[in-house]
Amino acid sequence: MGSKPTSRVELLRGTLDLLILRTLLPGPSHGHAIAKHIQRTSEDLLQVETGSLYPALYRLEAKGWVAASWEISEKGKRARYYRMTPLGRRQLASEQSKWDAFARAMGLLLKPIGEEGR
Amino acid sequence: MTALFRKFRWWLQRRRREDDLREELQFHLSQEADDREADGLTRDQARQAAHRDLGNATLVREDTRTVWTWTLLEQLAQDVRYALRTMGRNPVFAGLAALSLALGIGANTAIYSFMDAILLRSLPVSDPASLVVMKWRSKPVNFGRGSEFVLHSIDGNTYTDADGTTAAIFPFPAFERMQQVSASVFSSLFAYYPAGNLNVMIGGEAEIAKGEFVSGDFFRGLAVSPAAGRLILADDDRAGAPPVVVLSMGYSQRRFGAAANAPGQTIHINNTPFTVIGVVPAQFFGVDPGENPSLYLPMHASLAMQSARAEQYLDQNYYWIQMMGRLRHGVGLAQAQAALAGPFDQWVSSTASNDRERANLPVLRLEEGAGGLDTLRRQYSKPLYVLLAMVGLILAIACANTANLLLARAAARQREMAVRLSIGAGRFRLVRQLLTESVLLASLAGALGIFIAVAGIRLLTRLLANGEEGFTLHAELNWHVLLVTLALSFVCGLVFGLAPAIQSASPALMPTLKDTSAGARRTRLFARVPRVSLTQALVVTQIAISLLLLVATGLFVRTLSNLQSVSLGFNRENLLSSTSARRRPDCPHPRPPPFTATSGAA
Repeated sequence: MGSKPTSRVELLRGTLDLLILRTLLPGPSHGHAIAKHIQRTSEDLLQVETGSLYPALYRLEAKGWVAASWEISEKGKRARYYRMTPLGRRQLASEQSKWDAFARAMGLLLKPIGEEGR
Repeated sequence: MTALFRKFRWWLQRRRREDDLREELQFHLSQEADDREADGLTRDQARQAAHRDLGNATLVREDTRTVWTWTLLEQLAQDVRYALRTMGRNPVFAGLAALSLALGIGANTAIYSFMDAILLRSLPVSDPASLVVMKWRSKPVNFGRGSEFVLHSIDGNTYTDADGTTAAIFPFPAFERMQQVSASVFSSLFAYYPAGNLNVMIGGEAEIAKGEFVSGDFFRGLAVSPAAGRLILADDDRAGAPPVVVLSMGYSQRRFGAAANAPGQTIHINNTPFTVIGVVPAQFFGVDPGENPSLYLPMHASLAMQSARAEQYLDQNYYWIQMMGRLRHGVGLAQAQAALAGPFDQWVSSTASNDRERANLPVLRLEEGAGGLDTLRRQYSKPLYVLLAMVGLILAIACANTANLLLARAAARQREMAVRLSIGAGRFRLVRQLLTESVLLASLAGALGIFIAVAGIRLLTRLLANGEEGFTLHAELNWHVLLVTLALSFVCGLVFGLAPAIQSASPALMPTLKDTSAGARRTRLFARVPRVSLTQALVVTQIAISLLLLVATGLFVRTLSNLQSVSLGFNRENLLSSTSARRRPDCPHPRPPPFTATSGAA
C-alpha cells in the first residue's frame, strides 16, 4: 500500500455513487473494503476520501439503492455491510449506460488532433 | 413526498443512526490501522496514519448526518435559542429596542387604520367602483349679494375656494331631468338627503334618531340586500304611498331586540305613523361614512310628515338633494360626464331668471363615488394627515433608535464575531444567526405594537368623537398596515443588525482578536472612523426630527385645547343643556317623557 502513486485523479462529481454501486455488484461489503477496492482496482489513481464515502453510503441507503446490516467481518469484528438492492441494480444499469455514452463522447471529442486529418 | 417521509423516519431513529455511524467509523479506523501495520508500520504509527487518513472525524459525522437531519431547521432552533440567550443577557437593550419599534409600529397602525376607515374605505356595497357622485362647479359665488346665481335657497353645503364653488346638492327637478336622460350611461340614478334628527317614538317611548330620505332606486342602485324584511322600492317613493321606513341593523337591535322582530312594527316619526318594512345589513352605513343614519325613509315621505314641503319638489332654484348613479357596464366616468353635461346645462340655463345668473351657470361634474360622500373626510382628513406625518416621523425615529442601539451593540460584538469566525463558523451561518436575532426582536416589537395599536385606536376614537354620543366611526385594526410597518422596522433591524457581521467579514481578524480592552483604542481607531460618523449622523437626525415633532406636538395640543375652550360668549358655569323628546300628545299611556341632561357643554 505505502507506495505513492505518481499521479492521482480527482473523482468526478457524481461518479462516487456509480463506483460504490459497481463495487457492491459481486457481493456485500463494508465501507473500508469499498474504499480499498476502488483504490486498488483503479491502480491507486482514485482515492476515496472518507469524508465523502460515508455521506455517500448513507445517501445511497436513504435512496434505497443499498441496504445495510451489521455482520461479523472475516477478522471477527462487527462491521456494517452494504448490499445492493434490486432498485440499486436498476440504478447501476442506467448509470452505467449513461457513463458509457459520456465516456464515448469524451473519447471522440478528445482524440489526438492528427487523427482528424486522415 | 416519500423523501420527506423517509427523512422523518430516519430523523426519528437519529440516535441509532448516530451510534451506527460512530461504530462504523471506528471500524474503518481499526481496519485502516491493521492494513498499515501489515505494510510494516509500528502499531502507533499505523494508528496515527489511519487517523490522518480519515481526517476530521467530527466533520465526517456531520456531513453524513445531513442525510437524516433537517440541518436548516436544527440550526434555526439553535439560532433562536442563542438569540433568546443574548436577549436575556441584555434585557435593557432588548426591551428598549423592542419598545421603541413597537411604539412606531403601533402608532402608525392606529393612525393609518383611521385614515383607512375615513378616507380610503369603500362603500360597503357590491362593486363600489362603478358608483359616481354628481356634483356641480361654478365660478366663485357670493351668496350674500342679491340674485346673481341660479341657486336661490339651499339645504346643504357648498364649498368655495379661490377658483370656484363646488357642491353636491341639486334641485329635485334636476334629479327628474337626469333620470330621463341618464339611462344610456347609468343603470340606476338615485337621490337622497339627510333628514337630520327625527323624533322617533316606539311603544310610547320617544327618542331622537338620525334619518335619511332616499329615492326609490336608492337600495337597488347601491345593490344592498335586506338583512330582514324588504327595502324601499320605487313604488314606496311617491306622493300618497303608505309611509314606510327601513331601519339600520344597530337601531333595530336596540329597539326591537333583533332585526327579525322589526318588520311589520309601527313606529311614529315626527308624529306620523310609519310601518317598518325591513332592516339593512350591519355593515351598511349609508352613503356617508360619517352619517350612519338609523332610519331610511322614502323621499316623498317628507310630504306625509309636512305637507308644506310639496313645493320643494317643484322649486327649480332650491338646492337640496344629493345624487349618485351607477355606471352601466363598460361605461367610463368621462363618457357619462359627456353624456350628461349637455342636458344638465340645458336644464339649468332654463332655471336662470336674469343675465347675471346666466353668466355663471353651474357645470355638472361626476366624481367617483366608491368612497361615499365626504363630509367626514373634509372634517377629519387634515388633522389625520398631520397625525400621519407625525407618526411617520415617530417610526423614523424608532428605526433610527434601533439602528443606533444595534450599531452600538455591533461594536461590542465585533470580538465575539471574530472569535466565532476564527474557530470555523461560516460567515453565512453568522449572518443567519444575526438575522434570527433581528427577526426575533422585530417579532417582539410587532406583538407589542399590536397592543399599542389597539389602545391607540381606542384613544383616537375617544379623541375624535370628542364626547359626541353615537359616534359611528369604528376603525378596525388594519392588518395590512401592521404588516407593512412591521416589515419596515424588520428591514431596519435587519440592515443594522447585520453590521457586526459585515464589519467582522473584513479579513482583518487578527487585530480584533488580539486587542483586549486595554489596547483596543489605538488599533481600532481607523476602523472606527466611518462607523462613528454614521452613528453621529443618526443621532443628529434623531434630534432634529424629535425637535420638529416636539414643536408640532406643541402646536397640535395647543390647537386642541383652543378648540375645547372656545369662548361661547356667555358664562358656562353651572349651565345645564337639556334635550327632551316628546311623546305624541294623544298617546294614551301617561308616561313622563325621557329627560336627559348633559352638563356644561353647549
